[in-house]
Amino acid sequence: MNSRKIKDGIINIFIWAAAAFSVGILIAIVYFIFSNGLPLISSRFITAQYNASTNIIHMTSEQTFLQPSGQDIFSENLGIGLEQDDDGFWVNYVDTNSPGRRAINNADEIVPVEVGQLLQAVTGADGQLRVDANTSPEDVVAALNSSPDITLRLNEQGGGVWPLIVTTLLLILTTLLVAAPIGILAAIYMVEYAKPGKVVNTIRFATEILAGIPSIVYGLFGFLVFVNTLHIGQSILAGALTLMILLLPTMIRTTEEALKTVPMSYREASYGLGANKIQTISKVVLPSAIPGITVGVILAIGRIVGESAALLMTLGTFARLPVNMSTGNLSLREAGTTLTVRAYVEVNESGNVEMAAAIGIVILVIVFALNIISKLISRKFSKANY
Amino acid sequence: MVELSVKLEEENSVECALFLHYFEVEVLSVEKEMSVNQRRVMMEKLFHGIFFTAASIAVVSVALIIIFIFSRGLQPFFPGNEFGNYNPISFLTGLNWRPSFGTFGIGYMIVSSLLATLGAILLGVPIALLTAVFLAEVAPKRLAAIIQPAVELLAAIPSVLYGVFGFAIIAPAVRNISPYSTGNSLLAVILVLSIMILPTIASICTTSIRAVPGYYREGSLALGASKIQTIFKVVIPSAKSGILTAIVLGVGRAIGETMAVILVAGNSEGGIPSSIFSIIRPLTVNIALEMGYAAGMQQQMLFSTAVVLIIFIIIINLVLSKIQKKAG
Amino acid sequence: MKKLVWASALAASLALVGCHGNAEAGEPAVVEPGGKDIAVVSREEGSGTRSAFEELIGIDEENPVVDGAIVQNATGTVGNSVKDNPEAIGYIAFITLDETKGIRGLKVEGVEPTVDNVLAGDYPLSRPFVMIYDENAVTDADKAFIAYLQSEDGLIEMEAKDGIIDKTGAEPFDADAFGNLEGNLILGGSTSTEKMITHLADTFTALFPHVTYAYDSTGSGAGIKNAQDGTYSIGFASKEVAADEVGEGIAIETFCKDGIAVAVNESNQLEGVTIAQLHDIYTGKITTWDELK
Repeated sequence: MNSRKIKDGIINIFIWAAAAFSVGILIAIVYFIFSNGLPLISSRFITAQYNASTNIIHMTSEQTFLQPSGQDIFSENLGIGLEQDDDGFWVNYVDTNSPGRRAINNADEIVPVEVGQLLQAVTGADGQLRVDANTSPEDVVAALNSSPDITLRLNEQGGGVWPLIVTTLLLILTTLLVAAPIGILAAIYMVEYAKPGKVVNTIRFATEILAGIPSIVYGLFGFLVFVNTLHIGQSILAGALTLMILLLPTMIRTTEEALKTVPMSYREASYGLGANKIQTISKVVLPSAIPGITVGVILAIGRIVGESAALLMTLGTFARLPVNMSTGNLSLREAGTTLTVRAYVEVNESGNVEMAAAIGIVILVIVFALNIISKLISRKFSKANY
Repeated sequence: MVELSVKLEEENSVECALFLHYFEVEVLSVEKEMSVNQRRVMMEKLFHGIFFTAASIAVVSVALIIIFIFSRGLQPFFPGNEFGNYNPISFLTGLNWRPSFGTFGIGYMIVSSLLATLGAILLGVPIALLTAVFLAEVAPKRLAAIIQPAVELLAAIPSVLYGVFGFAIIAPAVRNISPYSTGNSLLAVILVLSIMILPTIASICTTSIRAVPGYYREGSLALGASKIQTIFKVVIPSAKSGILTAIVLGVGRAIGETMAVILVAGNSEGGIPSSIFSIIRPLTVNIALEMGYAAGMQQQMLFSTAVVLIIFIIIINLVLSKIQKKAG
Repeated sequence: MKKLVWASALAASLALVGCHGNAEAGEPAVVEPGGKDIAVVSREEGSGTRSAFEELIGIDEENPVVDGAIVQNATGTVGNSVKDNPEAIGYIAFITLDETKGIRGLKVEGVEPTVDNVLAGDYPLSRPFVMIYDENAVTDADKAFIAYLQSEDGLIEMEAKDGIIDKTGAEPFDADAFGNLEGNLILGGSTSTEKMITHLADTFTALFPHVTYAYDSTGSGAGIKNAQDGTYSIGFASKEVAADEVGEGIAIETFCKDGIAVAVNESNQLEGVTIAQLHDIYTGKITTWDELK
């Protein structure tokens, strides 16, 4: 008896230790991501563009401006104040009436001067003055005041993940729009219609194989077929097509499981009441299977958000808003990249663990939110009773 | 000539028309008034067709991918390939991968992938299983109610973030204990992979263990067994099928993982790893490194690598499903 | 008994979390460089930097890169491997040397890796940056960008990103000649040209606000291949591209030069190497730092 108690005690310790290790490691990872990434998180981080962008804008001065107190470097011609640091000259003040607020770019669109932009060049009466950290403030102000027509070259810092978020959302929508219906319909066939036999076994075997193929192989296939051969190019469309095939087995499997958990008695009762198969499926079985199906959709969304290998060459790695420049609309033929792919690129190419972790925080927030939402939805809409 | 209008409610209106024709009654038109039931039957057939089509799409896409990959991947080993011929044995056993010299040997990569997966399973499965036992059996209810959803949430963390963690924490730590001067190693890959598959295996096992009927436990306890004995001799064997499924998933994930591994593996161009601290190149990493620019025979060789990967996964699935059948 | 088990497990988990906490808080312990092995870092086969470097130090089929060399797939990654590892050595683009802190460029044959030394012809490791495009498939926006890269304004921007340029004969860029351009520049290729080309594309799109760009950083090999089949409108490579490497109607143009720096960790005391030593390091004949003193 005693030896058994000791053995049991030791095993109990191992069980607790294993659980402690698992929990500990997972806490460590989440802590690692948050501690490295949190300093970068701000509202600007979420909403700004990712890449630095340069603007060339033209303005015409119509009045002179009073230099406000506290502004050391100020242009009376334009009403723009600058501050200087090791990196150069930054705009830190723009008067309400400054012509800078109505400045236009080469396409005659209004692109105003904004606080926080880096001044890189001033073109005035004496030609272009390139501005960097070594330029003297006097020269800068002189150039800014040199003529009523001034052209400025300003640099907007990047570092925001908004394009990544938009691309990720667009990708999720596109992929699910096709993968979810096909997966659900196919699962309904497998569970409700198919008689056990060769056909069902073939389909099941096929989905098993599909589920086992590593995502990098999908990436290879997608790159060579969708991007190259079909000339879709690196785009959301190519990425979505690749992901659709990747997600099919998951959607089918989880929907199948969900349909299987609906007790046969539900169906039998429905037939007994005179309903036919379609009515039974649509009014009895499906609603009861909603929690499982929702879980499947959430799993799929989670997988899309977390997928990187299949998207590396089909979607690309460059962070930009997938907008067609001629129409100004979001387009599936445009390239961009998702949060996860960009996090990989940040670590791989720049070793920038902080940026990758910051992107990781956004990813985790989205993934965790999805999980919680899925649980809430299934609880609310479920007609099943467990 | 008399015109008669007859309403047929038979489904076999065509046969009726033929019957009348035989009796030299000219049938001017056949108007089928469908009964509600007939409409329903057509809808049923329509939907049946829709569902079957959806299921076939799944089969067709698999067939397409498999055919595409296998055809490109097996081409270099058969005569008549436009880029030349390559010996499949040298491909599978070769210990060097140097495309610019025309050497395509993935033998050392196969060893790397297998060792890494084996290590991840040996390290990850026991811990995950014991964690599942903890959550399902041993933990106080309130603790389990917090930890289990947490573990499920953590199973959703993208693999890239595990890679970042491996790159920043695990690889430098391995470098400190390694006789070589780098932390990129088989050990680092094993550690990253085991951490990655932990939550997945743990949650599936927890569900399976929870699903074991209560009376199994009660019966065992009533016979005088201790809780631990009950868990390991009654509950876990009953949950075998779910546990094996979890292991299959874990193996699949470990052998197919690319992004997390590419940052810590070292990606050697040849040589079987001589120790757990040697750098390795798993099969998946090979595809990822070269797919952007590979052309001609090199591109075909990437597909061949993919073929090997897929075959491995099929073999693992078959073996494990055989074990599952035996386990019952 | 139970409480004891509970308490010890709690202690174990706290210790584990604590350990990880420490690992993130501090630096990993620095290992003294010295008699330790050299961690050789190389690039993937498709890399232009690798091709150029191997040609310059005499790596070929008879003298291949040693099996134990770590392979990274971007110039920045090599820079970071060297930054994180006091025993590492790797070859990188000049811009990577500039932008990565914690690493130093070794003197090669006694010459410092600087832009001026490459211009003067003293620093032996350099290669051209080339652009590859299908002459029949380029759009107006692409043509304007190509002209921009060859204009004086473009060259000045390249200089800012460590490009080694030859300004003779370069004209200022005439944006008005192209009017109101629209479109998307689908660029891609070498990881060494990434920073420079994205900077140029950025300044270019400031002149033409309705043009956008994307740069897919996949390596010179991918740049050459994808420029030919239309995946990229213009591909970029960081090595010489011979006319027979590409198909008919594909233009290859050099727009600037770049140096290849041999980087070591800043804690490494070594001052410089010779090309012969580089050859021996990368083929595995020299394996420890001591042998280089």
